[in-house]
Amino acid sequence: MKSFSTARLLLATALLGTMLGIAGCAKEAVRYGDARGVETVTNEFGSTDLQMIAESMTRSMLNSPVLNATNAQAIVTVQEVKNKTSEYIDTRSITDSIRTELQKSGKVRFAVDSAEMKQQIEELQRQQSEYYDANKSAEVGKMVGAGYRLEGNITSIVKQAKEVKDVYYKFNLQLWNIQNGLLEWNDEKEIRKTTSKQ
Amino acid sequence: MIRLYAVALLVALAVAGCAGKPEREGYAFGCPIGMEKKISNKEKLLEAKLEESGDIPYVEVTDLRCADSGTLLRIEADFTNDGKDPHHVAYRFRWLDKNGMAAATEEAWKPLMVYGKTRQTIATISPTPDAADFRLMVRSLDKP
Repeated sequence: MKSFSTARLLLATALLGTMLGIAGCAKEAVRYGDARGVETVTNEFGSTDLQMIAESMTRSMLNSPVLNATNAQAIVTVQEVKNKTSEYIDTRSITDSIRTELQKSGKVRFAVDSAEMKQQIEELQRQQSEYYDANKSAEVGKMVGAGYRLEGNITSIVKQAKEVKDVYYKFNLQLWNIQNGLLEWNDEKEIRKTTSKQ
Repeated sequence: MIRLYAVALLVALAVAGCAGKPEREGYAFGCPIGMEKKISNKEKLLEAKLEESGDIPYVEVTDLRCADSGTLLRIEADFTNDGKDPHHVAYRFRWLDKNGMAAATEEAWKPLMVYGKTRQTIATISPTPDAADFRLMVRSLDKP
């Protein structure tokens, strides 16, 4: 009985030793990469897709007649980009990148959008309290309304065979004139990614 | 003799027609030449604007065209694949202001597939009116 327990103890010790040895051998290497490099880890929506879409849409819009008709900056509000794909995509991140690039171009200014409205109103109301210098507080009723609204959608078609998976994305963005309801600019970006087993 | 003059006149008119409008100062073939001196031919223009990283088998940039689009620069580049198979490259533009400094944050590398024995044109527009010059950066994505 005693010899059986000793054998089990030895076995357990040997197993533990082996596991520790394996864990010690599997070294993890951490290094910084290029945030703007081409990412092809999987064929799901990735950073390169987001960057390509944002850049393509921004450059197309900058070249549109609506932003070049006058020297005045167009005032735009960002609305929802609907995700009609089967995977989770943070579409707000795409519109944030588009907004950043457009703002940098100096041709567009952005009005507060519906997602940011609650915080804007709260701050505006807070400044009306007795704790603030009335002469230096933001006044109610001075917010600027947008002339245009930006909205869009992203769709995908996924096809899978035995050893091939093909994903096609289509991102469509539209700039609508709020006053007259006309579509002032519209463009789309297509991306195809294929994974095959080698 | 009159015939000779007539032929000479026709040749002169044809040459003038081909030459088109004179180039804007600081531009060559419609492309900004930035800090470079006058670029006399297309090969030198490509040499001045193109930054290739490492070997890029089969694919090369064979032409660059530029135009003013209001306050922004419009660029087109032709990628030609001499091989018979499709090849993959990545490219991006670097935008420079009139002082040769970066006019915008770095662009993302964009993948491009070029079918065999074909030419593919890519087009872009400068991100800001400050951009007065550019470089086209290209690298191969094919695994060796």
